[in-house]
Amino acid sequence: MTIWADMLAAQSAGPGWLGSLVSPWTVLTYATVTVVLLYFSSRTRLPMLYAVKSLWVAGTILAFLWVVVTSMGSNQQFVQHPERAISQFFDPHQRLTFAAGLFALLAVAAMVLMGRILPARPLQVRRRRAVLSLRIALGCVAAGVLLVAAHFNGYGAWYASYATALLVAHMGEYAVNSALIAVGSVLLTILTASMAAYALSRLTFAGRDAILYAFIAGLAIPGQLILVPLFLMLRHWTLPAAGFSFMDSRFGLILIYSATGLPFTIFLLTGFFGSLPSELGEAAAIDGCGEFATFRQVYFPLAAPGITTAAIFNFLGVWNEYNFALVFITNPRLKTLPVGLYTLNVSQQYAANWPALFAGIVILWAPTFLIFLLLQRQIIAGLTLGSVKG
Amino acid sequence: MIVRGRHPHLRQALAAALLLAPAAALFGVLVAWPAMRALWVSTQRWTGFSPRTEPVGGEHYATLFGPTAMRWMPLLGAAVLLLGATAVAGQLLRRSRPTARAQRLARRLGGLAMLGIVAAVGTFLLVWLLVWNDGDSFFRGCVRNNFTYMIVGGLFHFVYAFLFAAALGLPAFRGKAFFRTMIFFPSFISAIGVAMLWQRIYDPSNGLANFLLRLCRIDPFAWLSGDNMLNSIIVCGVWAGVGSQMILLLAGMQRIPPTYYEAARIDGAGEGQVFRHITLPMLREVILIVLTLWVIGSLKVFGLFQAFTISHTEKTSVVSVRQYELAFSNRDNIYMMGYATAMAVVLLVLVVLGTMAMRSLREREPLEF
Repeated sequence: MTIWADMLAAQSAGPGWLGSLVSPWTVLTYATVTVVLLYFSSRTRLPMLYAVKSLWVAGTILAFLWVVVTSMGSNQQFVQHPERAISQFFDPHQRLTFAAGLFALLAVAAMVLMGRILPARPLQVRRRRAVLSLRIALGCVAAGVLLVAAHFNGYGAWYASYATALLVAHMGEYAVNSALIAVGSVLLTILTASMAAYALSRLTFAGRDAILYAFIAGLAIPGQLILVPLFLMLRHWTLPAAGFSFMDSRFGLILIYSATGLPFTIFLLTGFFGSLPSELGEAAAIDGCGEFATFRQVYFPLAAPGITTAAIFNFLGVWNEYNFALVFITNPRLKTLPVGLYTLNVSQQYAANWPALFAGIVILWAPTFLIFLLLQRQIIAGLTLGSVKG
Repeated sequence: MIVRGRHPHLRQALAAALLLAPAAALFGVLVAWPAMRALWVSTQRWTGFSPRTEPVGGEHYATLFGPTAMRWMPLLGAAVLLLGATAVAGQLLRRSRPTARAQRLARRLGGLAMLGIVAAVGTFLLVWLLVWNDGDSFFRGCVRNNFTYMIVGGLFHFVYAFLFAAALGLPAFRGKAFFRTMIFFPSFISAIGVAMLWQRIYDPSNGLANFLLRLCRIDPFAWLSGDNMLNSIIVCGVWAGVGSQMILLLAGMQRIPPTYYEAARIDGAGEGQVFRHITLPMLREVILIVLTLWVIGSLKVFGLFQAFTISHTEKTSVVSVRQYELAFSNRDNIYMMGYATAMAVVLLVLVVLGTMAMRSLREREPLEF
């Protein structure tokens, strides 16, 4: 709680921002209006786009770097003086870290240039993948060299905050919970949704459209609406004999996430199954396949791209989900990562421990970042498939 | 279609039932049923101690909106019912496949009726927000913040998403993959991660924002004070959300044939004219999808606001956060489940209203190209 009191104390010190005539908000608004005006002149358009984009990306990179660097410092070292982090690695007197920093810079430059040196044409999938993994490997090597050099040069225990976050603040346990819940609910969602989507797009039966509309109407239901009724309902649903209850249970959360993920997944997969040619099913029928075999052996494998997309989106959605986990999990050992991070942020003993908190943020981001880097193409394809053409 | 067995329709129906059963069971029990039950729960009082709930009728809604609004509520209900019946009649008329002229009339009638519902409920809400000083003042503040986030945040979202998409669409622009990755990635971070990061960036003494201001010899700014926090959250929301809108707009832009632009340039059209007469009409569908998604998302927004501070006031809270706090956050150990659900029902009405407004804008003939 102290950190909030400090903030309020610091803020009530006085207005004083350039004599309070302008505020960041007016600056941002005028900048945006200027940028829009510059867009409508062909002479200023390209320079303006470069400037805005570079500024935006520079800010993003700065924020990410700040998080990573602060998460590796000791408690007060970089929190109050983030600029010192740079001098740590580019201090010519410390030869080891200086060399490591130089190497890392070169490695990053090589990573950036590699796309130019080894260009892959759109259809050269293997080559593209090779270049991508080479880039990632180079980045990992650079980061490793930096860390090892820092360790040997008395930079301090950069891993201390990660150890605190993972072991003392239980972020490791929370990550395992999150991963289990995410994988479980993705499998369940994909299984049930692909079956339903196949029936809704490739079979004819009475009431097909009504059922499809009912599922799609589920997209409009806010999670907040079903939160309380679900809570009132599920707190009674226990199986004492099997030791199962919906409250404080990973499996219960998996069921809830699968159910809430169904409308979007069915919406996406119905479009995907519907776009596959029907001749394949007919050929399978001639060869003696029943409805289930046709689904399992013909259409399910063919829908792999759509199913991958649905799986990615569901995984990210569940990994990042917060509202239901906050309500249905109260046992500290069963918390998911976002809830754990939230409690880490507000709990007395960690609120002022910036490195541990930032280590927690990095732990939360890392899988997302990895998935994003590796599967960006599918993600973009899925996003545009789901909404632009749907 | 290949005919299997002696009763092909029956077989298909049976297979469909078996394939649909698991999804329907999950969705029905854990989503559809609770959503319907929410209407009932919102008429109950339950504080977390008594084993049973206690029916209170429309009292929660009366507390939310206040007596003046409740006096107008029957009139509003009647108007919505009338317009809804007109819309349904229009739909039925279109289904019966009449002449082309009647069909056009029915389409226009349906669109007008939907627009009428949006206008009626929207006017009611605006008058309640701005004129009658009535009802739950904290809730009113939350609704106002939701609207501010939707309109101001939406404007900034759209402007930057559009600029970035335009940049990525230009053949002359270098470093596309890098820029796309860096702008797109933040929309995949969980709302909690975004809120944690920006809350620390805005920290008055140790934050990155004031550090940069100090570097430029500018006084530190109180980003997280009560008056500024909503704007701060809008900025961080724009940072996190602009990427997905950019990708959608880019996909739309790439579907516009470049010959249109060339023809316009040859005819001597300026940038403004090209934008108004080619880009905007061709992107109409995509823009409306982007706006619909934004309207829904900005009304449902939860994690970003909830995690930003632990002591929300009516200047910084939104409906979903207030609803969560009343129902589950046991600071005062009084749970107001029914009252909170009434708020969620209002939220649902807002979401449906926003979707309808966007739908009625889409009712025009789509452009063929």
